[in-house]
Amino acid sequence: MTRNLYVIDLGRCTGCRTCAIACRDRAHGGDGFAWLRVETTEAGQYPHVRVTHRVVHCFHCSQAPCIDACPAEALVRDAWGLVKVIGEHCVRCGACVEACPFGAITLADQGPATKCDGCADELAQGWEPTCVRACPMRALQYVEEQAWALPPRRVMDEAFDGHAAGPAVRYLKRPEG
Amino acid sequence: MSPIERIPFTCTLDCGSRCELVAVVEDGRLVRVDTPPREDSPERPRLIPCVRGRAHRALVGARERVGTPLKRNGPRGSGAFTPISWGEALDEIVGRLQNLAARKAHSALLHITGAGSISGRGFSGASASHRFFSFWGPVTVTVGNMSNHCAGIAAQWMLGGQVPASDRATLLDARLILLWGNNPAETHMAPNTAHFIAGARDRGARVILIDPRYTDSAILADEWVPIRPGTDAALVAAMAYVMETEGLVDRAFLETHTLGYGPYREYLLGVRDGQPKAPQWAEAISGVPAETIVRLGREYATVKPACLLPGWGPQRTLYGEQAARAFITLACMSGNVGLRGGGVASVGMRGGPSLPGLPRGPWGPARGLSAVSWAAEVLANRVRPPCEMAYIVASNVINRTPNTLANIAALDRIGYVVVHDPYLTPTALYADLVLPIRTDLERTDLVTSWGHDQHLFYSAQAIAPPDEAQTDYWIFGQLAERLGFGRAYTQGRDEAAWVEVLLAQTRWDRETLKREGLLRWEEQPRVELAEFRADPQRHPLDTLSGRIELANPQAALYGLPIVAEYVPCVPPDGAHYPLQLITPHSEVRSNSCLAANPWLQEVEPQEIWISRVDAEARGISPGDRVEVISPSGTVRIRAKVTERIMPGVVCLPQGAWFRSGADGVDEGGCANVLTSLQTTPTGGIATHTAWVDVRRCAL
Repeated sequence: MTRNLYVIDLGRCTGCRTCAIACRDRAHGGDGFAWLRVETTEAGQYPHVRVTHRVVHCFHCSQAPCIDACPAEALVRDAWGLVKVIGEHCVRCGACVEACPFGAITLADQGPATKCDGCADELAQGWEPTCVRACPMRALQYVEEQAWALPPRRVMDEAFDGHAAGPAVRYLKRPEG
Repeated sequence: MSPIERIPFTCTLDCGSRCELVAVVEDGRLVRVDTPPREDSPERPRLIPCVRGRAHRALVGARERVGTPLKRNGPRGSGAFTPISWGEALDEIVGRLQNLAARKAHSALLHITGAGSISGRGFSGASASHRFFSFWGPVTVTVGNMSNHCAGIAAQWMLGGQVPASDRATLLDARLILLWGNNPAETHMAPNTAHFIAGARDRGARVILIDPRYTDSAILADEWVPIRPGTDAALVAAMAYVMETEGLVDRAFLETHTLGYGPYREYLLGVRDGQPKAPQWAEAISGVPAETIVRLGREYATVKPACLLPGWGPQRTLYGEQAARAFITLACMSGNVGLRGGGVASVGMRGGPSLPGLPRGPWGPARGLSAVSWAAEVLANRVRPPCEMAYIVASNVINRTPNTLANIAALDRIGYVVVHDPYLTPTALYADLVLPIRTDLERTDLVTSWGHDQHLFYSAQAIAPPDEAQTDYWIFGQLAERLGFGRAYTQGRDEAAWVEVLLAQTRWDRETLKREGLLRWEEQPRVELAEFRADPQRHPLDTLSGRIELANPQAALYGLPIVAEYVPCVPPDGAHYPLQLITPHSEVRSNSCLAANPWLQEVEPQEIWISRVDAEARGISPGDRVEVISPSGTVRIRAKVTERIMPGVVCLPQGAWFRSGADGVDEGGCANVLTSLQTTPTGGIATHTAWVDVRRCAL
């Protein structure tokens, strides 16, 4: 089965967090935790500054360490290839939180472990996931892995690429000035 | 299972864009805000809402929301109010209005609008209130443009009127883009501007950001050129000097399409003042290294097409006219005017499609006070006869106009203040009567797009308002009824009925509009001044000569040079206020609107940006509480110590709400506490010319 990739263009992400707000709005009414976060790093010294905003969420890894780590079979892969939490099975042990290389799983004060559900309900309607549709900069794309090729003149960012867990993400490096 | 409805709506904020939003409603309750999944192409780009639009849900139920009419029962600003009925509130206003009318003192009412809900055909915000007063009588209003006054003056003098910039899709054809004091990634001034800049870059264009701050738009740029605020005309002059002395000026274009380059050239070469405007001269003024200036001048002159895309910041300085005139002059020298992917570097915006509005009454305003410095006029007792009542609609005026403390004093001097607002804004806190207004989700309206976009939106009421909130239209209809002109104001119609009447007068397809939420007016992106470039005789401008006029004798009437010379801003007291303050728009607010949204407060907490160098010199560490002091007032706020701002410059984004601490110092981070009522020579706003100091708080 072919899977889809989250292709994230670091040359387009301006850190506006529209995706984070849209995700928060859709997923959990705005409370307490985030399925999607934007990591901002500032590097260099004035005037040679470099700021990078990096969207991070569950990348529905092909070799998902969270599935292996869970003692209660609360993490499964669904028909879309997405990694899904079955809330009723969760025993709140926190093993998945520990196992996730990307810090994408949250265990709040109450309730089961929670994370990005891949917008399975929206995919079922033929839509792109909420975060992808929300981006005013079109910095986020959701594309078939086999159909995707690196755009001309662009370079892949090293982060996560080739990670043993097989995350379904490719970051495009910001073009060098 | 209850059906889930997806109801299209749009914001009506004073932001620069109009976007496609969907309210997801279940059992009459807003469960989510979304954007429709549409095809996206350069020809038909989606109008994707920014973070402000997407965070709507948290705004509807914000803590500061007003649910019933409120009458003040304590000192102004204390927040002590008694809820009263609509009947009581309306009777009180009617009594005040009748008292003024009986004395033929209509002009004692100062009507203030602006920067809040600004769209609409007559139902919301300013459009409803101006219409009401056109039936009631000749009131006093505020006049002038807080946004781009100086750019408008430059366009008037040089181009014969507002010439809108090319549609944003044409940016894809630029090979060089100079984002000059322009931050489209955060302001969203014209939809998809940042998206198309990124697109141009994908196609190999170079993008340069000229700004005192490394904004989030810098992500889209290959190079950041920091510049001292207020020195843009000096940098332009030195770039122009490089072009002139290296033979890179498009003389053919200047000769056939412009008049008045001669005096500017003499200025550049120092013919009259003995000072050539060489890169070294501009380096000392602007802080931009001479070698960078040489490179910028050569690059802008030789890479075609090149788009100089100024923002509104440079012209919101004490001599903002000169910056705006300099940009147009430089664009003419480069020959990029009228080229697809180029541009004349004017900041005019093309409006949306025209639609009929509701019929108006017979009265125009009796007089106008400056929208920038109205408080100065009130406080100096220059308004005769004086204003006795302020009627403020969709405008957090004490917060959004310069010198907040003076604005508060001016409202106090006026004496009786009515405010229409969905939220208990700082201005509402100083009112005698606050009337609760519905948000964009709670009412129906027709909204035309702006920012070079050509859409008509149908914004449907998606949810019921909380408590007793009403539309501006309903309130004015009720007042009109009590004052005897109800029939004239409403013609017996509510908003939905008016929408039908208005649409019946157009060629728009009503059913498609209501289903889709929007319709598009024009297909092809427009290139500004293309016809003028092709044939200036057949398509002259509205100037005296029909050409672009680089020398403007009328400038002398305002004490300004006749060409775009740099005029220095001298700090009033450099020893006490050594830092320059800029107060740009924030990505999480539209002016001061949305400041009450808790989600947005988390996205970008209000902080003052200070460079590491300036912070270290003052013993300030990241996150420290600091006091920012100007001749106008003091703000206590946390410091963002960063490499992203030029040393000598600090930045406090405008729009955070004023909140007076126990000692009278603002603790909300309201930038206009620090700005002054001083205006540019032609009366423009000059909020980016401000000097402050910053010191660490004792505690």
